[in-house]
Amino acid sequence: MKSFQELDPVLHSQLRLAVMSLLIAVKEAEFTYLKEKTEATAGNLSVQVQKLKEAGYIDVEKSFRDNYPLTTCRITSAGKKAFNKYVDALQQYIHKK
Amino acid sequence: MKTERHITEKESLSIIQSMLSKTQLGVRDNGFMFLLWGWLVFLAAMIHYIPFMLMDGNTIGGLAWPVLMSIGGVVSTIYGIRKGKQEQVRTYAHQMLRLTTLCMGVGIAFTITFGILFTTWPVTYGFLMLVYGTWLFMSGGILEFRPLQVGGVVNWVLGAITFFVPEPHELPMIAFAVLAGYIIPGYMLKAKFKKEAA
Repeated sequence: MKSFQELDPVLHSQLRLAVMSLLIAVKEAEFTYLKEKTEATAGNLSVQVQKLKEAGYIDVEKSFRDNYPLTTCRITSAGKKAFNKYVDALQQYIHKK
Repeated sequence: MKTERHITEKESLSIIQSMLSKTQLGVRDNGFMFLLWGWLVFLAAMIHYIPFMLMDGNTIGGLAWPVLMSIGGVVSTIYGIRKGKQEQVRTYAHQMLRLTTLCMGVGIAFTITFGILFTTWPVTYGFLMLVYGTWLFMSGGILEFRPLQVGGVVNWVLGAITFFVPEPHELPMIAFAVLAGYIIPGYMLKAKFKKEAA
């Protein structure tokens, strides 16, 4: 039986999992969209987005729109694999419990 | 979601489901492009047809096409750029819709170019309506909006009939095709968008 410890620690976090769940369903999303949907603070979201980026699970593109900074996130293929693996492990864990 | 804390397996699944449901808005469209092009093509077709019928084959009305289509091109481009700037999220459905529209544009360009060179206007318009119909049907599927798909089928049927219609009577055919395929569904889509936004 898989234990909790085998679940990807990068994804096994409330806000990071929420961000990945949003990004798995769309092509790309702006930081403001992620903040609105997760109801997180900008600071906390920024930290978690950075962690996901460092893990290689998302790409973060910084640009400008009408002179305002714009951050756009999209999931990577490594991120999709990790997410699917996490969901599979989660389902196996729940079914075996 | 303020601070990180240990989450259970059930909470994990709940988070995933909750976030996925928030992205399932579907692709929403306010109908603007359908109405813009629907009315422009309708007007061009009728402005071309009416003088031709009332003034012994006068083709001055044909100028409506380059003028109105150019206006449509400019307005579409400006609208598309502005809309792109407002979008916070790009979904795969949006991408499909854009690619489908791009394919339609290429189809129209090819049809008009080679139609002018090698065949008659009724045949060209017949093929144009087949292209319109395909785009409308696919867009209706992506937007999950049945009236657009019905409009697509109407365009296919009228397109097939147009092959047998003598000039210039293909013009009211195309006017009716865009009325059924673009204008009526466009107003319905606009009403749906307003209702969902309220």
